[in-house]
Amino acid sequence: MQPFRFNPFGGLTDAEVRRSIVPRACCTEICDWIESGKPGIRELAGPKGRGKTTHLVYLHELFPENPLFLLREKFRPAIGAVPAGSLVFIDSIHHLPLAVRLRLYRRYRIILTTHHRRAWEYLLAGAAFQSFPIRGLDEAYLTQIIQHRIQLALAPQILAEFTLESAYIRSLLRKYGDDVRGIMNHLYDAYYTQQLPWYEH
Amino acid sequence: MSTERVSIEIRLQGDPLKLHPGQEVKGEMTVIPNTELGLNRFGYRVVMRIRGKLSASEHVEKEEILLYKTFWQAHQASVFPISFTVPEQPSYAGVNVAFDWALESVIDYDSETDAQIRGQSIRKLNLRNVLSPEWGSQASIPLHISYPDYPLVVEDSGAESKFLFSPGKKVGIRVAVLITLGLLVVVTQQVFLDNTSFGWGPIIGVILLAIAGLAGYYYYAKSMLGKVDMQVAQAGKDSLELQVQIEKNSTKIRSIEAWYEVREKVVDDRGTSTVTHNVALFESEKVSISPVQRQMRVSLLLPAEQYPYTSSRQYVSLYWVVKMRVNIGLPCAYEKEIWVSRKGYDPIQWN
Repeated sequence: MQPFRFNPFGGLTDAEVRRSIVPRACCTEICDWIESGKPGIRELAGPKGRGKTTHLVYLHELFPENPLFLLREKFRPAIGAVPAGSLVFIDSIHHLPLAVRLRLYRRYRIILTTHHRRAWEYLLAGAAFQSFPIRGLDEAYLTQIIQHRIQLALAPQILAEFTLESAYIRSLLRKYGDDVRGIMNHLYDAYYTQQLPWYEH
Repeated sequence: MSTERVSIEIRLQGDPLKLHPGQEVKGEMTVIPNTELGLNRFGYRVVMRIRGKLSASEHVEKEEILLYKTFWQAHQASVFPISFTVPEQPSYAGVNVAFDWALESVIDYDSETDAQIRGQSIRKLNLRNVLSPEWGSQASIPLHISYPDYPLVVEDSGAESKFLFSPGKKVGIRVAVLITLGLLVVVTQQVFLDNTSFGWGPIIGVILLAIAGLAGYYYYAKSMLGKVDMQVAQAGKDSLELQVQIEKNSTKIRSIEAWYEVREKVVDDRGTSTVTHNVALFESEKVSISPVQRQMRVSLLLPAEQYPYTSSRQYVSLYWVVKMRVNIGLPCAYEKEIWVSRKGYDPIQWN
């Protein structure tokens, strides 16, 4: 019997993100802010592949009654239809023009992701904000991420535990730094070609 | 499967890992609540998840809700019947994408139970353990749907054949070597001959030369052959026939070979970057065609093993292309997508 139901290092559904994520400390602060009802903006900033969207999807899964907009090039949903003052989750806000962004900052409570910090935009819109950098990765954190993904993909009948060798995880960190997506893509290929150094116990 | 709030066990008649499209499957779901629970809905669903190097998505083929607005007493077992028709789309485990089928329970607690569970989880702020009410209460069994034994149906897609800038490895390597040599000469002159100052001019010149070479190559091939029409039709149970019609001059053709490929294309749209992974799952044997007339025919054998049908959805496409390499002094290639299916439709092109 195959120990895994699927390649543990591929893309996940939103519900699986919730089950497998290793949340960064900022999530607690953001949850407090959401529950407080205070206006403003919470920004998850960092280079691509560091987990901004994953954290946004995760936060949305905790408060699913609020809308989530995953923006892409040439895909701009009608965010303006949401009642003013609501909490909205927006991924990749840079796909919107500056004028639209400023309007949204004034109109909603927003949790958003961006590659670059946009402090001057929030100041221009007169919105209170807090920025949380999503970057940095150490061995313990990466090991946890990998472990959660392995647990998620493991077939229910399999009782053994699978881990990856520490030396291998360190080599991934040396090669990819904090680029989690790069690491996951590498592991995806290595799983497919059966080149992962599993430790079964 | 045992969980905190409720234990659910799914049993099917027959092996869930040996299913065929169209097969009728029956089974049952046994539920034992471990505590008193309020429910909005309870049932089961047949779901396919598209996974791989892309944002995962899911398609619910069938969902049957068996209970609405009810209470479950603790430790009181109930048995519910399950029945469904196995979907048309077979399971698929590709290089960069997989179609995974599963049968799973659907459980939706009422607002009181929901608020209780969610509230407790968030108030603890042990975010690693925050659970939605469904998690820990869902039973799931994987289903494997095999390809049917029926023969493949090959049809012409009606698309135009495409000229490819892929003249083969040998020519590609020669061009790359020539460009590298040209650049080396320029760089060497700049480094070792102090009295000459070429600036960026020669480098731009080499690049322009390469572009002009490619344009000349394209013009030569197009003007020599004119429009190259490729038509594909089924030729019996085990083969397809490619018919090639060359508009202009076929007398200068030295050789032609034809083959087809089954390809998997995945657009990785996770987060903010988009990367395309395009791999050939199968490449048929290359068959030579005698370049004697303007109109030529060749028969290509279909694969003995099962390969995916033509299908596409969102960021995934599984497709077949028939290809042809023509040597007119310079080799050039043409390709055309063809439609390969079992019943003539794309089983994953859902609305």
